[in-house]
Amino acid sequence: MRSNIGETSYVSTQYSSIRYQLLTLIIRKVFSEETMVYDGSPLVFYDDIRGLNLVMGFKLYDEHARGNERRYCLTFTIDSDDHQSSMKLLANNWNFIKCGFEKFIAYIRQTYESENEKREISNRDNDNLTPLVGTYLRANKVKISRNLVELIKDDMLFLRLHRWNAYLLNGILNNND
Amino acid sequence: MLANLFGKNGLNGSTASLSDSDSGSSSQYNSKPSSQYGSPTSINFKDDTSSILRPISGNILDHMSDDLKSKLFATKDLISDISLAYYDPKSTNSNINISPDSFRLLLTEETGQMVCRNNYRVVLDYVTPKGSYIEQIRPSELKEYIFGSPVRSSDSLEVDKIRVIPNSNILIISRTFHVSSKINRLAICLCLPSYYLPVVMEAWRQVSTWLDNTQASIISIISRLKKPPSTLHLQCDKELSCLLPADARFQFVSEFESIILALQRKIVPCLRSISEIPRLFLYPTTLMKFVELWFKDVFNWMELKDGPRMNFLSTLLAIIIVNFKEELKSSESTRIAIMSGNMVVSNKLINIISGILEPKYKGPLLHTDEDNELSTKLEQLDSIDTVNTSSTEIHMIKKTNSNSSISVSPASTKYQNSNKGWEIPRRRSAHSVASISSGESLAEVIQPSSLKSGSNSLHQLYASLSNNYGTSYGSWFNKRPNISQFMQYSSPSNSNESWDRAASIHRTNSGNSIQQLRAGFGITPQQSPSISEYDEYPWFGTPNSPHVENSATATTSNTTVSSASVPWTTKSITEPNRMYNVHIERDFQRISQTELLDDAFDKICKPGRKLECGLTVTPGNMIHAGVLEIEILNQDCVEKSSELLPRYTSYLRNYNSWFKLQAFPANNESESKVITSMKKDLSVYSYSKALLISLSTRDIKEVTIKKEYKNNTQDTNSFKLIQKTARMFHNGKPQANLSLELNNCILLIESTLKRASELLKPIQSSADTSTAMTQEARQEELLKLFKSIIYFKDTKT
Repeated sequence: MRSNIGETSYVSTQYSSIRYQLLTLIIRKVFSEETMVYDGSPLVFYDDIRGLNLVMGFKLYDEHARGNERRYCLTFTIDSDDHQSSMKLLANNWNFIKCGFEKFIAYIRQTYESENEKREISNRDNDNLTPLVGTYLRANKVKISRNLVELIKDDMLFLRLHRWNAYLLNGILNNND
Repeated sequence: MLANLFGKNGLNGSTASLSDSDSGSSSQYNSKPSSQYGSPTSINFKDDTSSILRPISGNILDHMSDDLKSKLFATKDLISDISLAYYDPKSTNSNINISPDSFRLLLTEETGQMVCRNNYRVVLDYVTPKGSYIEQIRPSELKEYIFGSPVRSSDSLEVDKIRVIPNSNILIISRTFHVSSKINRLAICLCLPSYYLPVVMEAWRQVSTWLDNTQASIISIISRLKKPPSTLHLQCDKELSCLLPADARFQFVSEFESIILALQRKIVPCLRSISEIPRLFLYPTTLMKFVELWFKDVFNWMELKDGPRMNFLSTLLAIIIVNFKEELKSSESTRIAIMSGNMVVSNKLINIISGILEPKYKGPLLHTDEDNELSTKLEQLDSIDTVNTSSTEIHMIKKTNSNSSISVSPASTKYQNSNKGWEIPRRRSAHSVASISSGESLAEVIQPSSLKSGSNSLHQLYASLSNNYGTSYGSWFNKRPNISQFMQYSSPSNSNESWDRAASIHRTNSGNSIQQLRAGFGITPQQSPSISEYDEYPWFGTPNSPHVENSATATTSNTTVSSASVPWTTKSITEPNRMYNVHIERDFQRISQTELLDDAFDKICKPGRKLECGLTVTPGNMIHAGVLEIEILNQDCVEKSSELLPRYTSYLRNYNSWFKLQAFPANNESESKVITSMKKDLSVYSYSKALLISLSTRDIKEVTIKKEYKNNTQDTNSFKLIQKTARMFHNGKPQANLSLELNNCILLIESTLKRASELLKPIQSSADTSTAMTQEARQEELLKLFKSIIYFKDTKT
């Protein structure tokens, strides 16, 4: 996905061929090496390979997932060796980035919750006979993977995310001049 | 010394009973047979929690009028910053239970033994103040956040991390690093109250310098331990192959002490100042009212503080524009410091200076509802004014009752008219004016005005008042005691001073006084202000006095003062100097982004609706993959202003080296304080610059300190400091050796101000002439003039 604002292009992609290594390193760091808390609180880390990263984790309850929840992170990365100026950029835009991320996370959560309510209501209507059996013993057998789009039933989710990220980046870049 | 410092720790945990059960600091270790672990409880380096903690620079907002607040900060109710809420006993926010100067420092080492649960050890755990909430988190929990999960990363990089500990209002800053290819990881971890999170980012240079220094001293400790095959090291190797022995803090007292002292003296004060001192808001030049009021403030200043011949302010502005404006914006080591005992006057000057500084706010300004109210009031007042002008009668000033007053209250903008014991003199003659002296009732004093003495007396008046220290400045705008009240509240301790002041006031009355000037302008004086108010009195919504000499002629110093100089008459008698009723959502450091983001999110992501935007698909080929082009409209991306406000602030109780523009009390040490902080800057920067403005003596000095390397090498150890001081303005006179550019700028400012003063003349007087300008044209020209001043440098280059 690509968008142009002014003369700058903003690209969202699932498989980055250019930054593949960086991406893997960051993902591994965030999801495995760190003690991540998915409560939307910010985590900032810096090292020479990964650059400066601001990570915000959140989770959605999903009975079909392992551990009954699915975890996601929004990450803002500055891939630079210059620690001081990266940090300055982050400091200058702290509220903007933080609130920007929170905004999108809140959107996902809300959509998910309202979707869940609908689902519950329709479940109740269709399936009155199995009230409590639920997932108790069968639980582990019916784990199916569902992606974020299916979870919140918003086909446009990643388009929105792309547009939002492009907006945020554009705001930060403009402000940096 | 050692016993003194660590007296408590000799008892091994039992004295750390305050939080023994839940801190887990000692139990975990004491259960082990090896007693060398000891208890990693806090070291009692220096506990100065006995003194009551106060905001770092007093609560400067308490003494400020709403008007001034909105001029300086763009909001009347500046929300008390979260760290300040701690000081407020009424605060009900339970989140703020951590004192702003508390911190916890942990030095830990993780051994390479992944199987073992206790594969780490705490070398140092220092908490201040004792019993603080921060102390209650177990080191084992902190360790999880510091070192992460057991999944070890393959690279042995140094990692800095800042994060918030869930459910605790504590943030941790940690640095993990490896020493000499060992697999052991060492960590420096600093716990702070979580409201410092954005502040830590801003002060990252200081924090990371501290981390670097701490890391260096730990490495040096380790290398010293290694050198001789000491028994300790061997023992350590056998035990857990640790790099640092658990009792390192006993062996290297001075090292650890200096680490903590650096934290206490440098980092925590820095974080506190950055978070607790409110910053100025720089209005955009597009706001007409700002430009107008800026000019008025400048004129007010020139009349009252500079007098006819002094071009102190224009020189000062020129120096800032030519030499400082650009550097203030970009450099951390450039400062403007105003030294004065008078808070209100310094804040006025700061307001004027901040008008020309960058970076200006760019975003939208929201006006509050009061704006409409105000404009209707203004219309009413205008009509009153025109009625009065038509009267040609010469009124005598009668004061029937010393307590009755006409109030032009800045808050209500109500202007009560002549029926209450006062009548309004409508004379326009500048030669014969009426004056009421402050202490007497039934006073009818008519004196000729004499300009020359007027200027001098104003200067004297200022000099006599400017050096009073004290806390009784308060808000002049709301309380106006008459003289008897004044006498009551002047305490015995400063009664001498007040008599001095009284004397000086009487002196000025004999020559020319502010009141005279005002009366000469033909406007009803308000009730005479009490003596103590003289200094500030004409600032609020009062008329501008006529007799400020044409500033352009002031430079060509030989011209005699013409008594018929053009009076500066602004509409400000009716128009309160009240600011634009702008309300910016902000805290002490930042402008809130929530509203901007809410709007943008609605436009860009369209939650709850179908996303309609231009989509084009370019199919993939051999070279590139398929691309989905998504349209984002430019107008959706509103230009965003910098959220972080520059570190300019108003009057502070103490000099604060982290702020670039400030005013603070003048005393013998104030200059040296600034210079010391400049020298400290040189450890990071190669160049430091400051403008020192002393209001009491009317001095402007420009101090630069440079590092000069010997032998042209960049060896950090062989340099000397070169300090240059240039006196730009001394004893009320600009120095002769100013640069050409500076002189040009002064001339430009003066001619611009002259033109602006003509523009700001009240409409009715300019209506006489046929060249009356429309309001819009007037505003446009005013704006042009303002821009020509502030962009002086840009237009030249």
